[in-house]
Amino acid sequence: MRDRRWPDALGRYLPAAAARDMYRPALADLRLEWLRREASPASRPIRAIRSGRIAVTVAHLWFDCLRLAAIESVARRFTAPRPAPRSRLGKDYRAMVTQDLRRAVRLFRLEPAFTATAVLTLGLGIGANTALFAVAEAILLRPLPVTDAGQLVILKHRDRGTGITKEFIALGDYIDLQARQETLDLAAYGGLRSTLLGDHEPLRLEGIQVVPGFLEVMALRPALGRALGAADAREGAPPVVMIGYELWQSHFGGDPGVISRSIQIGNTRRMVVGVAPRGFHFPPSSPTQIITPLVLPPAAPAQRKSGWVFVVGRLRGGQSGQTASAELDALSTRFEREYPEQNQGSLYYVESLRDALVGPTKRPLLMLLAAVAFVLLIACANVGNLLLARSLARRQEMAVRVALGAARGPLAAQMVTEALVLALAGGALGVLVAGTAAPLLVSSIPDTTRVPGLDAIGVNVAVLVFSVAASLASALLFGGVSCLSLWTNGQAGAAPARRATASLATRRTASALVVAEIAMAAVLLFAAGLTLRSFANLLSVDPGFRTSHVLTLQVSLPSARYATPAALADFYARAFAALDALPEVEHLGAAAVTPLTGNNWTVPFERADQPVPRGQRPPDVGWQAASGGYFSALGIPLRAGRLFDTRDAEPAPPHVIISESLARRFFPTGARSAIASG
Amino acid sequence: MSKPALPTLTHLQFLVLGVLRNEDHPGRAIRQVLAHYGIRRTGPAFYQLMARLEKERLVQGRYEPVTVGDQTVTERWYTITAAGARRSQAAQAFYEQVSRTAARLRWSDA
Repeated sequence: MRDRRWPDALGRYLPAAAARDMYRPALADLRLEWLRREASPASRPIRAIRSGRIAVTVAHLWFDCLRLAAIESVARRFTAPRPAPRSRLGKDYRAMVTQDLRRAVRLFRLEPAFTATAVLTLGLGIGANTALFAVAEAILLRPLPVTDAGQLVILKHRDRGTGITKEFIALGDYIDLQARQETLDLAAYGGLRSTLLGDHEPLRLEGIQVVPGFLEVMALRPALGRALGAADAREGAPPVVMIGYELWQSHFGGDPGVISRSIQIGNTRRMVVGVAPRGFHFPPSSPTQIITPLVLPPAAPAQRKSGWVFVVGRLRGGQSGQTASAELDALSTRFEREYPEQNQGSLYYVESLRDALVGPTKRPLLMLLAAVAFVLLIACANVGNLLLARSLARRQEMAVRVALGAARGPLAAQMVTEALVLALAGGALGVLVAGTAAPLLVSSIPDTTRVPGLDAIGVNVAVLVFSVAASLASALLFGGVSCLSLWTNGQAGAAPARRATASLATRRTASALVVAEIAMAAVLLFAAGLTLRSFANLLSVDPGFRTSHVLTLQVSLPSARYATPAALADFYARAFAALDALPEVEHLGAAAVTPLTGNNWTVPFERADQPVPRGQRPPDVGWQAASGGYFSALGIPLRAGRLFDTRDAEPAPPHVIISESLARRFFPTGARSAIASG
Repeated sequence: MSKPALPTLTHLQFLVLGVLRNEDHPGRAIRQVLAHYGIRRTGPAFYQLMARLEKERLVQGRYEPVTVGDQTVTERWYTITAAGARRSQAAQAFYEQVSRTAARLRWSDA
């Protein structure tokens, strides 16, 4: 029995249990017996007779196994105790799933190249989706670190004339809105930067100034001490401060005795009255280390735009953002009638806190999610095609199983289980990919467009659930495709081995997958092309200034030390002289705000010789305060006239440089005119 | 002394476990012992019996290589498990009890 293959191969056509328990060990005994007989020399005819006897014995063995298996199967059916249908179903189901899983793992171990290709394809697809979902979850889905954030809104202003939208609100309008509207609890705040001085190294602080009631609007209670009250925000009240929880822990060691302690913040000694609750940051992307009282006049000033504040509001019970905006719209119209020179075209409305914080980020993020979903679909189509091709190789196996009585349902379950194993392996790889890719994605976002939540991006429970869901969806997609072969190939199950090519239906399925893949790839390609084109257009836009070889430096001077314009002028004159003396510096200029960093300060503009009719508000234009060197340093060309120089120092009459577009709009004839500004 | 319970093993199973009680044997050798006691089973029928014992975890089977001339083939070997030994001993105790009781009986008493 030199040739061992054919008796072994015969065993594959027996039920698995019969082959394992009876045929294989009995065949091993026969084989051993024959080998011992063959050890004795025999003539050729004797060997031929032996081979014939072996064939007959093996056939007899095979039929005996089949007979016993059939008897056992029948006996089991009649003698097996009948458990309760429910428990039997569950047990059978579990046993079937376990068996299918084992079989799937065994099959994939036998095909490492196929398995690696499929898992890698799915891993990249699921990984890209999971990484982007991790970003989207942190930005769009994770609750904001404030109580009932859904009820919080940010008050906004839109100029109907220019369409410019701002978050800072004119002081007079805020005071009147606060008094007249009934749908919101409003609280004004402003940004604050200062320095903590004392025994330690000076510490740069960021915080907010707030009106009394701000913490109530935010539905927060201090972790220690008390909140800022109305008495703290009166003119001449003793200076007080609330400190952030993190500052309390890091700088004051979490000492409860910090309450009532006097600390030096900038030029003012302030008494600590409370510690903000843990995790309180407002706006959520800022550290909020200190909170000081914001002192506002009791009534709206005549010059309504004599000051600016940011305003947060909480919707009162039963009110919605729409009703609040409708009320603000009505009040805006009233303000326009009452103060036409200052409020014409001013519209106030509210936006939810989340939309205000992540609004500009939401749409591109959702578009990116859609794009990577296409990538996953392409990956699924690829793996589906691979499984279809593999099903051709397994057609014989499937046909034999069908011929031996296997129903298509369990066979389909087996194929879906195989798909599930592949998808879960791909999902696990995807989570690893996402864990690496998500931080890289975040690091590529510029600091100027940072939104809350980005610092805490990672693989958490929500991201894992998404990854598992994506894996399951993928498994259903390409597993379903591979199941099609059961029905299309199964019809040829009677003679499966004789056909070397795919059936028409299988070929059609494969073709449909390829077409779908190409279509999705084309969509992605076009989208990527359009994005690249937009990016190229963006790069080619001339902002009107030169950015190469330009360095910027932000300077903030303590107001106590440089209290007068003369002191400020003296500082800047010395600083400019020192910087100008550096051989590396070619041009030097100063400005109030660095260009393209979010400044949208506007001012009403009118020609002195063509005043706006009484009762109307002049149109707003953007403005910036700058020195003459600012234009040279940024390479802004001068079309006519001169730049600022020493002649413009006070007490000279104020001068202004206007842009070319403004000149075309307001001075079409090139006439010279004085400019009046409110 | 507790009363021995009725054995849960068939005579054939008891015999197989008895063969394996002291040492491991290949399936072929166990078949020969059975044949010695007049129990003749085909290879598949014998291994079906052994498979049932394995399923009940009374014996444990394994394949071991056997070299004959220049060829190496495998052979099925069996080891009795602790559970198998306990069941076998329980059955043996029962039969011994029956045997002792039968020896004491005087058939005229019946």
